[in-house]
Amino acid sequence: MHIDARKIDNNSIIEGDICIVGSGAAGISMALEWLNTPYKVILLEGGGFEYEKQMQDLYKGKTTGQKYYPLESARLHYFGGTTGHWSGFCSTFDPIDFKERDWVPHSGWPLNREDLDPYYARAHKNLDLGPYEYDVKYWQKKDPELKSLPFDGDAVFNKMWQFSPPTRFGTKYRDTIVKAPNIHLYTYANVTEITANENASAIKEVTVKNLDGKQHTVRAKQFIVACCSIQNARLLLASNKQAPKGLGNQNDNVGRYFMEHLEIKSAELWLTRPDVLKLYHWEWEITKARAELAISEEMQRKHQLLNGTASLIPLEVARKQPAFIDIWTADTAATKRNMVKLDDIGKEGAKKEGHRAFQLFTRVEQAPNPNSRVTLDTEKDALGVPRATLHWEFTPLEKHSLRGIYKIIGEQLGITGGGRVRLMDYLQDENDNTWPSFTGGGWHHMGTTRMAEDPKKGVVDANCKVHGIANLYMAGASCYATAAAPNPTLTLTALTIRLADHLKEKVKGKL
Amino acid sequence: MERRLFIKLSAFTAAALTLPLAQGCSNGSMETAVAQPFLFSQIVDVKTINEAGLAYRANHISEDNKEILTQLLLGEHKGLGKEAIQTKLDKQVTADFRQGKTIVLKGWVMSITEARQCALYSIIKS
Ligand SMILES: Cc1cc2nc3c(=O)[nH]c(=O)nc-3n(C[C@H](O)[C@H](O)[C@H](O)COP(=O)(O)OP(=O)(O)OC[C@H]3O[C@@H](n4cnc5c(N)ncnc54)[C@H](O)[C@@H]3O)c2cc1C
Repeated sequence: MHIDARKIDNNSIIEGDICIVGSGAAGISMALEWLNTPYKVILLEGGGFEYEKQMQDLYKGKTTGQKYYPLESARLHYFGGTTGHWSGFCSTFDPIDFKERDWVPHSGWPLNREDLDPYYARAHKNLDLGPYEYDVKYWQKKDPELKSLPFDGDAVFNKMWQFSPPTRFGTKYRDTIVKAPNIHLYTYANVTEITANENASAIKEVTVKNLDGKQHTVRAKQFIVACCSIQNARLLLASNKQAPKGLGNQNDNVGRYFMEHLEIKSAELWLTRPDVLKLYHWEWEITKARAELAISEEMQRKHQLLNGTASLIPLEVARKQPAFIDIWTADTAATKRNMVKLDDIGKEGAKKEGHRAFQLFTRVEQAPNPNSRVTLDTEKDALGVPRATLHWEFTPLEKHSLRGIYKIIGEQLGITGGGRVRLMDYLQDENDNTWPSFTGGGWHHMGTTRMAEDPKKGVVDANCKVHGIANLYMAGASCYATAAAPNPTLTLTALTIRLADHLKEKVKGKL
Repeated sequence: MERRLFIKLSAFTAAALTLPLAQGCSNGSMETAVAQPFLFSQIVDVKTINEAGLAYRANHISEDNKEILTQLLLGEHKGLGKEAIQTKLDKQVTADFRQGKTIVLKGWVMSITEARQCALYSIIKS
């Protein structure tokens, strides 16, 4: 059922069993898990069903440190959330991503990869991905033209990716959610404050406001905040009546450890003979699966590297493509034009006869860094909530890892005589830790309410429950302890479904 | 500008790249056979080989000498014919990569052997 929160009486009290804040990939995935159950689910969405400039304005905020996209254009504030923008690139995290690595400070999850496996399979359905299959051999059997670059051993391996159409959650799930009798979707219901009991051990209610001046109160037994990483931290920090530093922030972890994937052109791959390298090729809406080059766990350990992958783009095409950080602006219309141009360049695409040179484009996790963080500004948005400020900051480990990744790929290709690799200029001086102007992120916001068993080290536990608060859960990539190389949506959806299973047991009284 | 020129050269003249070196071989110069990083020279132009060689020499002053480089490359195998030299050095290049005996010169991830071949080439051509 759908209710427009602008159209109900001011100061309404809304009550239910489960309250989900935010209806993006995480919020909708959570809501879908409660379809046809006896529980009354309140799904609160700040925006409506379409893009609106004044809603995006609520997302505005300052950025400092490493240059970043304007915050108001790096996410979408309406039903379906940022899946209105996403490109659908998906892959699973590797087992090493969950482990504590002594060369990666603050690494290690209280979960391991097997814990997520069954949920990955379920998340695949939400995202309209193909079979839960990430073994290159499976795809090569389907298409024998998917030939691997020649590698001897598995120091470098083909990490498979799958592509969602991409599923726009706002379009795909709107009817299902609106028609569900037990899901009460409120649009224009922006949560501005989460109110806990006196000792901040449980949540009593949340306040919702909209730009029409209406304010309501929502009460539930369990609260799940699924507003995306920057908003999740912002909401906890801004909810500071009972806990002066913000909810869940007794150990000053909320907002810290903000992570992005560094997405950056890094090297060139030169072959002795032209090749189409179809296994690594990607075409919008056509490619179902492709590989990126990845480094084995053993080599990551040996060379003390972060996890990252390299995708291949014919060099002639890549050289014409501007960096995302230069064309993704606060002006939506201009950005759209820029992205269309970029797509057109991409469509020139691969030549049938193949290419001799490819750009190697990196996607690498950034090391969890407490100084990379979201804080509150003194300036407030139109609903009176302090705006978020993002300080994005790297450590020297990122650059060391990029160099290491391409040296390993270069060495492995050297062994088989497949070709040679050339590092870009900015990676050549081992002592230089600066980044070039074209350094960007993938619009992947992670880590601001990180997961750790020890409350001193994180904000949520292994079930995504905020430490010290009985009924407050965070859903989404804000819970990530480390970022891994793959884009976040598949894993955050899996983690959300896992949380839903946990909550179902809890509300049944089994936990 | 220079970089663009390099890409153009490399992409469109790949087939002809080995020519200056190969000619050297047919002239019977054993030295030139030693100074030809075979696979690398199929990929890049002579200018790049020269630059890589100069960079290697600048970082390895003690090797900046034709005889020393030849000795390091061939060891006791100086009497080999041109084809045998090429086969031997190609094997050595592969072994270098396998053993992690690599170096980054002007961005290129190269085997030490082929870096020395570039260095020798830059001396011969100077
Ligand atoms: C250009 C672009 C390309 C991308 N490509 C990929 C890709 O290829 N692969 C991939 O995995 N990921 C990609 N992403 C990232 C992906 O979109 C996000 O990971 C995903 O949408 C996050 O889901 P979420 O539910 O956590 O947050 P969101 O999808 O952002 O949803 C948050 C929801 O909460 C609502 N909300 C926020 N604040 C409040 C509030 N106070 N009260 C009520 N509601 C609120 C919002 O309106 C929104 O509906 C891309 C992102 C962008 C911008």
